[in-house]
Amino acid sequence: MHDAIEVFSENLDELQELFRDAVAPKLHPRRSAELEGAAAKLFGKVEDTIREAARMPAGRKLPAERLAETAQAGLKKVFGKKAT
Amino acid sequence: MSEQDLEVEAFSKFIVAIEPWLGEVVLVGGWAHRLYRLDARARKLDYLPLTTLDGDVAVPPKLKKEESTIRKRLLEAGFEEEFIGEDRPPATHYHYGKGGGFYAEFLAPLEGSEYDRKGKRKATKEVGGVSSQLLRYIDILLLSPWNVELCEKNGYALSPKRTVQIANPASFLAQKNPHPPATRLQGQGQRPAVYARCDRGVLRKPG
Repeated sequence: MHDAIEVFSENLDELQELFRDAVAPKLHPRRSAELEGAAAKLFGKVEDTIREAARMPAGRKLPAERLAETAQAGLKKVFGKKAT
Repeated sequence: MSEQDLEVEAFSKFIVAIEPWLGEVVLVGGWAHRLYRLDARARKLDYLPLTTLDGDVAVPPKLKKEESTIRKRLLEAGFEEEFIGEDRPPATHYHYGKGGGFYAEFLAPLEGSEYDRKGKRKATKEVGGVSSQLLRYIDILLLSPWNVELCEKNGYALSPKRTVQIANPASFLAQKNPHPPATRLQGQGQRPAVYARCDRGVLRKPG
């Protein structure tokens, strides 16, 4: 998730629009609500799962805090209620 | 030929084999992630995309009928089947090249209940002649896919160029988010939650 967000970090507005127009209308409201809260829930706190994920990419240093920060900001932007 | 070249070669052969259905199927998972870098909206990053051996392909519940089937074309192109588990039809990996390397697997949306009338879990289904694993939320990946052109110029042994569909990144992210326990991937092909939180393709030993 982190890398996908980083790849499109200059176009998150477009992803947000895409999510709102094409994806969210097809989701169950409960699932939409889950996604809305996903940024904080998954990446609000640096836990072992995030530390483990940060160690996985071979050949590059990715601090867990940076992974969490980037992923949280990206998910908040794409799935959040209002443009941030 | 490097390992990466072999993978790209196998992937290119796979794309040619499924050509009649390229407008219907959507590449998801690690290969979609890798192909994002070819999109004009992608940032140029100073690290390589994470690699993955499996080519996950999302298929709609039904594919248009062609003279051949996906299965036939894959076998004719030199892919070999590996049957996984005991479901009927069995979940299948299509391998290219001896000793591992690239393989493709097909995923179709699980619609309705996870169990049939006899209480048996609906795990697989035949679509286009291939066994597809039935998974919840695969339909998200079929929504508004993006197109990517693959050709010799951008490193793929494809002439003429082919246009493939990849999951749009918003769907990709939505599908990667962990699902409630009742709807998590289960059974054959199940991945631990960490796979959902970080891309499946990253599961490589550090160092």
